[in-house]
Amino acid sequence: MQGPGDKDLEKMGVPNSMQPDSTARSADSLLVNNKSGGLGGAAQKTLDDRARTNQEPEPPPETYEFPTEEPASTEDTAKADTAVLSDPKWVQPDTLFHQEAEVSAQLTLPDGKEHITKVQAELFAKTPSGPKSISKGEAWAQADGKAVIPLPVFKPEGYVDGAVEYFFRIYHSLAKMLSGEKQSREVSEMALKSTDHVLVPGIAFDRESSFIPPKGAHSLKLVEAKFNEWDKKYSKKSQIAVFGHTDKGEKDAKVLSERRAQSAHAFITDEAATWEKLYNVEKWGLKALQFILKDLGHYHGAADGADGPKTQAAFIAFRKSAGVLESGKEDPATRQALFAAYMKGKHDIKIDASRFCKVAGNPWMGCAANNQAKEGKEAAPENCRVAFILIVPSKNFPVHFPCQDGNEAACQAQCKKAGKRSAAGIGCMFYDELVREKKQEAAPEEPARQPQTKKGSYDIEKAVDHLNAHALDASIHKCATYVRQAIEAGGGVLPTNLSHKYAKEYGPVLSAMGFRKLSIEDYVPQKGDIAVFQPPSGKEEGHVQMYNGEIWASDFFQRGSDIYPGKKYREEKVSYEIYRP
Amino acid sequence: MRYIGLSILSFAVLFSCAEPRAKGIKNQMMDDPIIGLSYDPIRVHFDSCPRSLDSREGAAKGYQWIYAQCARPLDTLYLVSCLMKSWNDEENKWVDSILEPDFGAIVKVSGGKSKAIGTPDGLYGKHAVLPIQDADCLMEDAAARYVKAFGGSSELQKSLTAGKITADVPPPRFVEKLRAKGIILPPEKRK
Repeated sequence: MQGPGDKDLEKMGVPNSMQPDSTARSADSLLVNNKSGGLGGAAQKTLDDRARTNQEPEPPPETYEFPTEEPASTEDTAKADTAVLSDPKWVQPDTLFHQEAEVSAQLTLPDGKEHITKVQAELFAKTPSGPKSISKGEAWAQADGKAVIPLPVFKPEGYVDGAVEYFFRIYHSLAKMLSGEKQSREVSEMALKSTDHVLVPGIAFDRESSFIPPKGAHSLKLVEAKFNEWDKKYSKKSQIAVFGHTDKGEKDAKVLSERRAQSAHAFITDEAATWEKLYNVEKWGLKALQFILKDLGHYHGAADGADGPKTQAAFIAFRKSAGVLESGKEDPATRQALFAAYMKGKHDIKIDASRFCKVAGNPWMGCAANNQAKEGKEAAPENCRVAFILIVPSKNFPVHFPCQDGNEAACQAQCKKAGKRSAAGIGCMFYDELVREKKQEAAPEEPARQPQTKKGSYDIEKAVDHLNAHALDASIHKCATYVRQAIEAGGGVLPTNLSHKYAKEYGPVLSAMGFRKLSIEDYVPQKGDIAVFQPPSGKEEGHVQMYNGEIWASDFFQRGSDIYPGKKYREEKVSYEIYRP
Repeated sequence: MRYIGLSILSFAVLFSCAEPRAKGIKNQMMDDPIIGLSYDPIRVHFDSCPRSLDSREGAAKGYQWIYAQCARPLDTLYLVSCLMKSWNDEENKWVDSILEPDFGAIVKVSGGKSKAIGTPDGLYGKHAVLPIQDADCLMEDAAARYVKAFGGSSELQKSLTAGKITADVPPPRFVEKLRAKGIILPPEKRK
């Protein structure tokens, strides 16, 4: 029984470049003929051909026993030659540029063809001139029929910026081509920059103003709450990008939007001096001060900008309470003290200045009227706003923001970029990538754990950092020592009454230290987990390893696709236990 | 400083293989690093490591073997392994009486300097330490070395069959190359 010829493969939609080579198909033929009762006919001829061309021709050993199976009849041939590919999927929830994405499919092979497990895939980018081939990959289907194929994700030729839509196709020599076009996904620059981001609505302003009234100050508490939530979720790794916005028709939109962002940043970081500058530039006037005095409980009249006895009494009361010397009606010192009291009082927000993203050199940026919350020709107060974008940076951070201070040209360039935006009012492609809701959030990190050791709280980060700093690229047979030293660096103290000569003995040791033993069924590794292996047959030491959040490591970094440290452990599926701090 | 660091690293890895200067290689089985196949190193002869790979401390001959080699324009890659003494973590010493197979190492040799860059598990996959063509190059060479070390395709096939090695265990390129030499590994039995 021969495999399909090149023409047959072409008919099935397999491009020439993706068709299995003749050697592989000959070998396939060989196996099938063996199954039908030994070598002979076409298969023997294939072997003879190979013997003439290969450098080291070797006859197949007679001792090898193939699985006993009835040979396929001639009538069954057509049906038996058809394999089925199904269930095309992207393996990872996110795909990044310049990294390997994985796609998977299910392969069902006919009887007698179980060995033809090679599956190939091709990645395409949707471009204005049509689909462009980006990369190809191949893999072998596993016992359950699932094939996971790596495909490098490159930017298509001519790419400038923004998101690119990719799809894939999967091929097998005996199956119809499987299209993954319905599973297309977008990859964008921003995906390289962050692992998660979220838009917090923030605050609204009066037209032409960057002053934050008490209602807006109260709204900033929501930003703080969300930020604290993310700090717990991402171990204080998130950063804030502050973007100011204007409505259509507001004057000097770019500058005003920047002042709004600056005002919000100053409020959070208690920069009263910045507000004093903004007060003078925008001429906030007495009305803004009356709002603050009222919020602080010193003024009980209307905030209308009209001076009077109530306002003066309020200033006197404030000066007295704040310890500011009398110096007339109002003065810079009094105003700054008033601003500081407003920022640090009941609206105080505790977010450190270091947590703000620098955009064009400043910890804030303005978008003018390019990214509207509410689109339309009518004036919309919702657009006079500041938005906060929380970003969890990836290792590729910091983001290179295309924004420019005081210059809207960069905004306009981003607005001209082709591509679908996530909301009607958003013009800037870069901003859109920042605020676009991710389909799946990154897995949250574990919250801080309770003390587990005699020495106090066990610090997983310290343990993993120690291991990462010391593990080598290949084993020196000291896995137990390296893992023990990592545990000790994390604050763990080994019990003195239990042996830890060899790696295999670490189970009871970890239990005694307060590590929890987990079920290995449906186990998902977490940073700091420790796996203890019994030795393969005929061996003594066993193995112990720690998960660093990405791979397992001990005295060496294990780069296998599973939990096993090496071939023998994997081949024997050696038993192991998992311990979590 | 970086150069010194690399040398120390390579010494650490290679020195580890120099440790098993034990008396009893006799009756000691070795596991090859690509398949995990147990074999008797007295009967199966993989090439010994060259001087450039030998640790300065002097690894005992016969304890360190080459399973694959690939020459590149600027350096040469080796896939090596050895039998080692066991390490007693509690007493901080090597145990002479227990020899165990190493996981193996991919070693890069250039200008007389060697550096371990990974283990055989790092040949392919998400965390691969080599470009795929270099990993393939090693596997192609490995297939020829295995046939030679075991005394021919027939003998190797016997050992693989006895070891119940299925096609999903070694890297696919290695399986392909074995197949081209007439050695066929059965697919993993479907569940």
